Parts: sequence; C-alpha cells; structure tokens
Amino acid sequence: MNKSDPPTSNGSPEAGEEPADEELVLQAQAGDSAAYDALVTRHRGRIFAMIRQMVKNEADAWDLSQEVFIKAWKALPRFEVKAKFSTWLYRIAHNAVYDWARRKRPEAGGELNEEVFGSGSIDPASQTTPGTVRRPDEALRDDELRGKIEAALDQLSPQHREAVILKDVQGLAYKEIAEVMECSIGTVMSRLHYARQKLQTLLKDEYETR
Amino acid sequence: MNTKPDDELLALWVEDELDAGTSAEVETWASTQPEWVERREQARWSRELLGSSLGGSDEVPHAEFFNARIRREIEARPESVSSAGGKIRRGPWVWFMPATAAAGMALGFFLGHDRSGGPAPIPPVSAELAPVLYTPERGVEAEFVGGDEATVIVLAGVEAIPDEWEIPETAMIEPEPSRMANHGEESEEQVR
Repeated sequence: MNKSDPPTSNGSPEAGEEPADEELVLQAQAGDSAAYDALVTRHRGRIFAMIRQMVKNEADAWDLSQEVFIKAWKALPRFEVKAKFSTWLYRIAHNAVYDWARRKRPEAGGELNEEVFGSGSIDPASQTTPGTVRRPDEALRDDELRGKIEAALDQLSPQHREAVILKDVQGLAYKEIAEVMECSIGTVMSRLHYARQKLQTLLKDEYETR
Repeated sequence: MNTKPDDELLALWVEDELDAGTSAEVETWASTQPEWVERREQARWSRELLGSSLGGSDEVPHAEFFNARIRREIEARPESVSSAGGKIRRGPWVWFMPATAAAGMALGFFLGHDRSGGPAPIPPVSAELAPVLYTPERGVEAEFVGGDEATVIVLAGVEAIPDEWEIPETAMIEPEPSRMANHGEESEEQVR
C-alpha cells in the first residue's frame, strides 16, 4: 500500500484522529466543500487504484476518478448516511468504468469485453506503483511480479477481474461487492471462484512456490 | 456441523471472515470436503499475492491539482448540494411554478423570435471562472493578478532562466498592414 494517501478504508477514525466519514458527509451535505475536500483526499487513492486496475491507463483513470468525485458531490443530497460512503463511491466508480468502456467502444452496442479493458497496459515502474524505497534487486523482482499479475488479470473477463480486485486488493466484504457490482452474493462467490482458479493456472509458478 | 452449511457461511469461511465459534462449526463439515479446502487455499493465496503486490491505494498523480479541479467544479455549481440531508422546503408558491414556467417560455419565445432579420445578439458571459493555479514544482508559489487590461501570473521561487536560453518564436505574429494591403490589391487584380 502506498503511503501517500491516508489508508483509511472504512473511514472510522481512531481516538483523537480525523473525523469519521459520516461526520464529513453530513457537513458536506450541508454545503461544506472543505469537508468534501477531506473526503476526496481520504478516498482518492483507493478509487484511483481500483479504476486504474480496471482500465489500465493512468490518464483515463485520473479523469474517471475526477468524474467519480464530481458525480458523488452532485448525488450527495440523496446519499443516506447509514450506508457506507466508501462502498457508495466504489459503486459510482464501477458505473463510471463501465460507461467509459461503452463510450470507448460504442459499436459493441453496450457489450463489455476484454478488448476494451485490456487495450492499455500499466508500466510496472509507473509513478503510481507503491512508492516505498526498495533495493534495486527487490524493485526489479517486485516489478516483474507485478507485471505478471497485471498480465494475468488482463486474461480475466471484466466482471471476474473486478470481483477479484474488489475482494483481494481492496478488501471489500461479499455484501459490499454485491452492492457495487449489482449482483447477488452467490454471483460474487462464483465470479471470485472462477477468477481465482484462472489466476492459479496463469500464475502457476507463483502458486506452487507459495 | 455435520450437514452442509449454507453458501453464504461457506463463502465467509473460505475468506476467513467468520468468528472463531462459527468458523469451527463450518470447519467440521468443510474440512472433509477437498473442494472447499482447496477453495480456501486459493483465496488465501490470491489475497496474499494480489494484496501485497498491487496495493489497494495508489498515489494519485498531481494530487493537489486533483483536489483543486474537483473543488473548482463543485464551487461552480453550489446549487448541487443546496439543502442539508436532501430536505426540500416547499411553500404555497410551488403551485405557481408551472404557470410561471409557461409564461417564461412564452416570453422567451417572443423575445427570441427574430423579427429584425439581423444577427442574434451574443449573450453576455454570466459567470467568471476563477483560475486554479497549480505549480508542480515544490517551493514555487503562483499568484494570479487579473486586471481590465492585463492578466499576470507571478511565479515566485522558479529558477532563473539562463541567458543562453533562447525563447523560440511564438505563434503570435502581428500582421503587417502593408502586406495585408498588397494582398488585397492582388485579390482585386485576380478578380479583374
């Protein structure tokens, strides 16, 4: 995990720390743009990472992340604070990514396929890779492994890839993934199972040396 | 637990998300099922590998600019979040709104109808956009000075430009009046 952005995934503060998401959301709903700015700072890293892993292009991921936060602001009056703000953001991000894919390939008639999502590739040494100081040999090994994983994720269908990213990278619960992807818990379970099976086959060497 | 637990419980067991008591109950059944044991192994491996290699949070490039752009966008539409908690106050005047809207449309049509045959007037700019200044270099501060005659952006802290650096020609070239006049004469000759 990168150290640049606050790693608060659930938005619940510890004693004496920053205010919780719920509190900031209420302030933002009352028109406090500074509170919303704090929410953006808190969640931008995770939303950007999720989108980037889906679209595999930093510039598009940056623009789409902007779109997510602007849409969220517009929809904020309708957001019910009893729901989890981060899950709601992932849901908006999910829609933004699929709308982007449709815009990119209008001739596909709204059908989403790997061609759209797999058209870019992330440079393993790009600016947004984890920014900790690493020894050159470690960096090379990590970048190689990261490249292998990215390539394996490319082989998955967009739905399978998203399920595995939300679960294994973003750490969402089954129920949250079902909410974000608008499907049943059973579907999430099945998508995760097939995604992991395929990853195991594609990353056989890594699986055997675990 | 000797009977098969429901799918949701099994899914949570696979993900190691059950509390110790429930997990032990599910384990009694699942540990005798190689398929479910394998699933749990896969889940643990995938979580470990992807979680440690990809990272759930990335540094957003130009993070300050990222926030500033969103701020500018939302400040341009303050009406988006106009009522706390989405509660909208309605008064008796709300019943006049359809009639007012219809009257407004009729008036708009009447005013907008081109009776003179001349060009339509250009509507005035209704809102001024506040510039967002972003300096990617640390230690550099930018100040915007906007006036009627000039717009100046002062950058404090930028390294001095070396003397040998030549500023390339810009696209802004003043048209020469004599050339324009000649061009006009040439055109007239061609017409003749």
